[in-house]
Amino acid sequence: MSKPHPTPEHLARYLTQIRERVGQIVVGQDEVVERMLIALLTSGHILLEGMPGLAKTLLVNTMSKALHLNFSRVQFTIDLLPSDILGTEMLDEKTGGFRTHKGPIFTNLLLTDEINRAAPKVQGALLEAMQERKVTLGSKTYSLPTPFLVIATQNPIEQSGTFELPEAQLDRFMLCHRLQYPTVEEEEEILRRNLKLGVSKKDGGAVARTEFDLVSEESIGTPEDLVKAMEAVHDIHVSEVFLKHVVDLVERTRKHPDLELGCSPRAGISILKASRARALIHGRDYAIPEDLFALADDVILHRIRLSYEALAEGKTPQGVLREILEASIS
Amino acid sequence: MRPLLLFLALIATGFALESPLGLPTTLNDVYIPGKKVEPIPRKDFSSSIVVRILDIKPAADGFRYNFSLYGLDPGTHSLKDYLQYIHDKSPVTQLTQNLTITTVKPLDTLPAPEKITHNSPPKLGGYRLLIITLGVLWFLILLAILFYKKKNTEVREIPKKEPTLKERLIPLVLAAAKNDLDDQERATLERLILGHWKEQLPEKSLAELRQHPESSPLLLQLENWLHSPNPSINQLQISTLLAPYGK
Repeated sequence: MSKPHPTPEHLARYLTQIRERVGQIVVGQDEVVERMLIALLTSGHILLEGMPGLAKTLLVNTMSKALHLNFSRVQFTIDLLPSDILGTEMLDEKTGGFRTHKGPIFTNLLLTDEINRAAPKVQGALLEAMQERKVTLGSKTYSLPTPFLVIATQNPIEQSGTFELPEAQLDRFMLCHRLQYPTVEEEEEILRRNLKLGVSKKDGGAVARTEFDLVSEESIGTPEDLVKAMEAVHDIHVSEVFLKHVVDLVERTRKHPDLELGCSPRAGISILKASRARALIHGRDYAIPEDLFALADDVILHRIRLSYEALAEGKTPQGVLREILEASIS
Repeated sequence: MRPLLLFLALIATGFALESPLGLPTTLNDVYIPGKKVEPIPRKDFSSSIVVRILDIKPAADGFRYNFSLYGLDPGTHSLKDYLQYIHDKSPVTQLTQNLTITTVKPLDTLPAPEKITHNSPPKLGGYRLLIITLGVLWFLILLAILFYKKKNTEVREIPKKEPTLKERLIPLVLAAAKNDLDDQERATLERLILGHWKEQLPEKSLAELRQHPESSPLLLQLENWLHSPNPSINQLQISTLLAPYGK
């Protein structure tokens, strides 16, 4: 007798527990956690734009532990090579043959810090692997583990010595979330928690504890629960009316006079997928316009490009998208 | 004796003095009987020689004059033609002295100033005509553009009366009551209802509108009706909820 199919409410509770677990360690990044879950449930990838020190690594680490997933982190630098991420074939002196050394990409959650600091060939290799979910080393092709989620970060301020990701590659990220600084209350809470960390004694010595020491090794649910949640996303109902909303929004970005580049069909697909996952996270079995409006920034902003005239007038992609969204309901 | 001296003086003064063209020369002790003479004032540029009196000395029945002369036209010129008596401005007749203005080159090879002629304006044509034509065309096109823009602005200024949100909403609500909406119209109806509440509560986000006591009853039911695979609201209930928006 097979297990009963979990209801959206049951899955929403499971996903809420994950958010709460992350929230116990990371303060004030609930929206990012929601976006990461959306990316994970829809097999998309997420790009985080924000200043250093916003607990991105801690966030991904906590989430991987909560979900019982493997986690790797790669700091992108100018001298990084594709083989440093993907892996390579090495000569084994004992056997005289080649031995495959898999790179850090063979994991469930891959945090690529400052993706725009690596050379375009490294970015290209990563983005190709992200899309194909396969890596070829030597003559063999290896599938990447499932689930596989790339969480890339980039600093929006320091642009010297970086290689800006072109629109075609940005389009491969399902979501691009702009991290904000915590509110005053959240900042106070971060400091209060930090005061309580104390010292960790080990091997006769001691070291100051960090937030990473608080991350629980105990996972919430099982990998099967995550698989069921991913399956449940596909069961979320998308009405014809919701499809019309999505098409209308995508069309408006293509026709807006301030935009040189509007949304691609991939953007429309991403909105649909992300809206379904968000509906599940919020315990609904159907997508609603609120999902569309809540995700519009993260799905659309990195896919549109302002015209020179709009830039000269001092307009911003955020402002233009606000205009589009307001025009769609007026 | 006295008539003889007068005769000799007249003969002596009858010799033609030669002077190069344009260079001054002096003529001294020229006896002219009668009262004092003066050069005839020049009123135009037709005078062939320029005469100046440098000195006047009294003589019997007349005066002796020292002249400074320079010629402007080659040829022989009689000095008396350029003198007159001061007292009655009458011409001097008793003087035979001539001045010959000589030239090194033959007369017909001398440079002469161009005669001033009154030319009529040159006939329009060629490059000038082209420039003027292009200038006129440019001006006409400029005027046309200015007028066209002004006309367009005037056209734009006429307010094109677009239906208000409510005007667009009413027919959709009425059609919804009759269950006579296609998917596109349903989507428009939902967007207009959201727009209506956004107008009423502009500070609220969409998520907040879904929880607001005024807007949430309709918005949640509308969502359920339009998006749920198993709507818990029927046609009659939605018509009742939408009824206030159809007025």
